[in-house]
Amino acid sequence: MSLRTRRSALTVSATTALLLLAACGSPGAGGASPSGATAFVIGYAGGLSGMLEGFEKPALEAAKMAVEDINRDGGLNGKRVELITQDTKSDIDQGGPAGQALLAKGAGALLVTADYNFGGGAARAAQAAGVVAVSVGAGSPKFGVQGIGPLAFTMGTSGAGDGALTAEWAYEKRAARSAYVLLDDTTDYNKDQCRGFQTRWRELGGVLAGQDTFKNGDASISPQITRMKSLPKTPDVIAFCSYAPGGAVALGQLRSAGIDSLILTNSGMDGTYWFEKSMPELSGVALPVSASVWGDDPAEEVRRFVERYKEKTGSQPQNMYPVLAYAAVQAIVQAAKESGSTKGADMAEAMNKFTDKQLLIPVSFTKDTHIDVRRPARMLVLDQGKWKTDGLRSLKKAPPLFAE
Amino acid sequence: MTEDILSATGLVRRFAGVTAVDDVDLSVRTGEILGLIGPNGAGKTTLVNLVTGFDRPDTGRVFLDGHDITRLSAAQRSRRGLVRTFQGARIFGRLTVRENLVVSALPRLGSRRRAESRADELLEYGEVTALRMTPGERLSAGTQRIVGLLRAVAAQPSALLIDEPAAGLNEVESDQLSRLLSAISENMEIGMMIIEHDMKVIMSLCHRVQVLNHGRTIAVGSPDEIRRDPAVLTAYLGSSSGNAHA
Amino acid sequence: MQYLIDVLSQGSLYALCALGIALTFGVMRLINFAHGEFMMVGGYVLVVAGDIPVWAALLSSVIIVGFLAVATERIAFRPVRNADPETMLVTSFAVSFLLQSLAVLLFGSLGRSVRVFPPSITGVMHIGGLNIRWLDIITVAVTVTLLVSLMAFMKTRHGVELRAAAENFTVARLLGVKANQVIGTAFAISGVFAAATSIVLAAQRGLVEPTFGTTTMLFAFIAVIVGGMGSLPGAVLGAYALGLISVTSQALLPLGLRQFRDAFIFLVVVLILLLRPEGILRGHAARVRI
Ligand SMILES: Nc1ncnc2c1ncn2[C@@H]1O[C@H](COP(=O)(O)OP(=O)(O)OP(=O)(O)O)[C@@H](O)[C@H]1O
Ligand SMILES: [Mg+2]
Repeated sequence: MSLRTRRSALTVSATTALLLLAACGSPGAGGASPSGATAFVIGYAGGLSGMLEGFEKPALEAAKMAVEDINRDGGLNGKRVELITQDTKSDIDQGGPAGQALLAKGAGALLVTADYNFGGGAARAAQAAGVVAVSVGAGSPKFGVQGIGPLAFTMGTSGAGDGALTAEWAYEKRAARSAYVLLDDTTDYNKDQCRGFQTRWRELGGVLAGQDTFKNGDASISPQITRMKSLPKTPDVIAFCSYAPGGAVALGQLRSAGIDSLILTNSGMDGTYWFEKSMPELSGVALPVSASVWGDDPAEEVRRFVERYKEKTGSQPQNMYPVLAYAAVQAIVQAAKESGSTKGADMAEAMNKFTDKQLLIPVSFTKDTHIDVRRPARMLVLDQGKWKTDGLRSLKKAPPLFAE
Repeated sequence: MTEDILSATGLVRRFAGVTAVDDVDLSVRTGEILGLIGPNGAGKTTLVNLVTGFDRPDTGRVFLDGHDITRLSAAQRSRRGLVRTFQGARIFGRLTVRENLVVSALPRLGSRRRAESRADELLEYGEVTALRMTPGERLSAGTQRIVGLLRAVAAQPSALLIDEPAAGLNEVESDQLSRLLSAISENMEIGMMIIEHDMKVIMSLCHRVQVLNHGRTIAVGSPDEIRRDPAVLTAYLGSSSGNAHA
Repeated sequence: MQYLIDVLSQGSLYALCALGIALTFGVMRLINFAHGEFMMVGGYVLVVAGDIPVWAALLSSVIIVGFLAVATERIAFRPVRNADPETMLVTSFAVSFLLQSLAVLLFGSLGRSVRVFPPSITGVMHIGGLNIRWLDIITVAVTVTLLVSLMAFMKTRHGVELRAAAENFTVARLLGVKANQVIGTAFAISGVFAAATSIVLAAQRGLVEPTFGTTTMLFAFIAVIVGGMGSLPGAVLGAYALGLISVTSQALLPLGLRQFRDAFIFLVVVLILLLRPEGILRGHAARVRI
């Protein structure tokens, strides 16, 4: 899963303006100054201001909690763990420089934005410096050996896998047989999700009633709705590969046009903020996540973490990214512990051996695959405006990670 | 005795290398039409720019109705009643003929209704009532010139400077314009200054003529006097034959 | 036929937005990139207004955005009024960025859901096999109402002055049109149009986030360019043309090409501009100033 890039949203005005401010703003390095040899420093390069702020700040809070917990339990082999931050201002081009700034301050590992494009820059800087970089939740398999390099990992899950999982769930648990594919083609993750869905749906024997595309920035998807409405029969499910805000807009329009099909989507549509006022009674939306933040996650540790997070920050997390960020810090420290080294290559080697590693959530990597393809998902189902977990599910048959 | 409505003393304007206007005095009385002539490059347009505030003199002063307006901007001068027309008509193409006049009349008259009736009056005067609802851009060049003039008059100026009104007009249009100009002069409390190359227009219309050459005034007088002035003849002959001599 | 309704609805939205942009471009030659953020502010006013009656929420949005537009002109644009177009453009970027940052600071970047109209008028009507959303009717009605009001306004004293200033600012000033007043009026009206756009857009989207107005504004810009920079009828025409192009390309392009829809739209726009470099209706920006 990933925080989908918001390229369409961050259009000319925002990005150009960002550059303007970048030119006059001072580099916002936060956190305590690293204490060199006595501490192990983790750098967080993320959009702490700008359009990704809503995802990154909660993730950073959780990373801080993880660091506190680890230090309370004796740190990393007696060494303190410290967290320093660098704001990318939600600008793709600031990722690389932010990563370099953190490395220059002695960061021994990086946490980066949950997106291939926004987090990639800092991760490449880390790869070049021989340092491990973990994305909080990028959903691209390129966040690893096949793309950025052998030192890059992501806590996220793949779009293809997420899409396939919803296909299996809808076919088996909801006895759905006809599907419509609605793709917001602004990101690769979305395309992967729809591809994974279609591949599995066909294998399962489901009917594909039609497909269409839209863009995240579209103010209206009326033409798409018109096309869908011309079908002889409303499809049982809609594979809806998009993310908020555009996804929320499109989904609302589907519903107000009277299309009541079950909507299968992804963690980019997690949260209640996007419908609580406009469609307070919204139902029939399902998506797979690595952790539910709505109080009913099957794992007790996750439920406890969410409670602690709420206590500490006074706010309800809107998605799983805080959970993933917490686990990412754990993964980094665990890798250093297990390899007995803080060198990037050694830590990566240790992470490659993670198989259902019990961190806040289970984490698995292999030498070739630095994105988790084993983790059981929770299907979140929206019912009368409330997210409910519909059990744990593992993929029965995985679609190819990469489009051929 | 009538006071000068518009006057200037000792105006000098130098550009790199040229003194475009060199110690020129000027006076226009209410009810009078002053013609400003001179060969190409004599400094006529520069002088008009100095008087109307589109350019600033290096030295010299400009007075409107006895008040020193040398330091005022063009917009301020026009608000006080010193209005000019441009070489191109520059009327508003998207506005109707009537609206062109209304915009101009509004600041003085305050209310839209009064501005409209003033506009209608002037349209009649200029014999263009039939075109009142036509957008400016659809008019012929000649009619645009007439509307531009009417628009300037709609502002009820006390002094009006008109730059080459007849340039590019045919005989008929040029006559119509001359008639309009003299009618305006006779019927309104206004002093006018006209730059024009067409001697026929100047000689038939103007009460007095001022001649510029190389930035200096070389003659001022009645049309008849000017016609016979040897300095003027030399200036025009010199420039038209192309071999200037000292 | 159903698509025709989509065209009308989408074209109307673009028209509302494009008129606001064309108005300020007309008098100031300012390409106001902050217009989308005026819309965004209008959206957040509706979010904050919450449960107060609809009419009160709409009214506050119009008033606040109108005021914001006028204030922005005073504070940001007036000092650079006589500067070159690039300076004004950069200023509008700065304003746009400032307002977006402020929105992130106050409301976060995630966005807030909003319900503008009661559920009874957010549904669909079925008339002779057509699905007509109430919102489509509202969108078109708001556009037509504002368009007619704007046309009526343009015949009034201030309207005539505004049109004169839009066409030739220098000459208009010489004729005694007050620059501050006429620009202020243009911004106020532009703000009202931004608010109206934001109301329709918020109702249509159900979500307000810091980049709320950006995409619509970009399309509206294209409409303004296609229609002929600075021409108000051109902006409206351009908006409906763009609505037509985008709906038909979405409807007619085969699936494999649909992802290139925007590229296709821009291609058509470029073709139009090649055929008519000054836009469908020639804008006066292309003509000589002074
Ligand atoms: N902005 C300027 N910079 C430099 N020189 C200038 C400028 N404006 C005018 N001049 C010069 O000043 C002199 C007077 O020019 P001006 O335009 O006033 O003449 P004119 O009498 O209006 O001529 P015409 O009959 O051709 O319109 C010319 O030599 C011209 O080249
Ligand atoms: Mg001249």
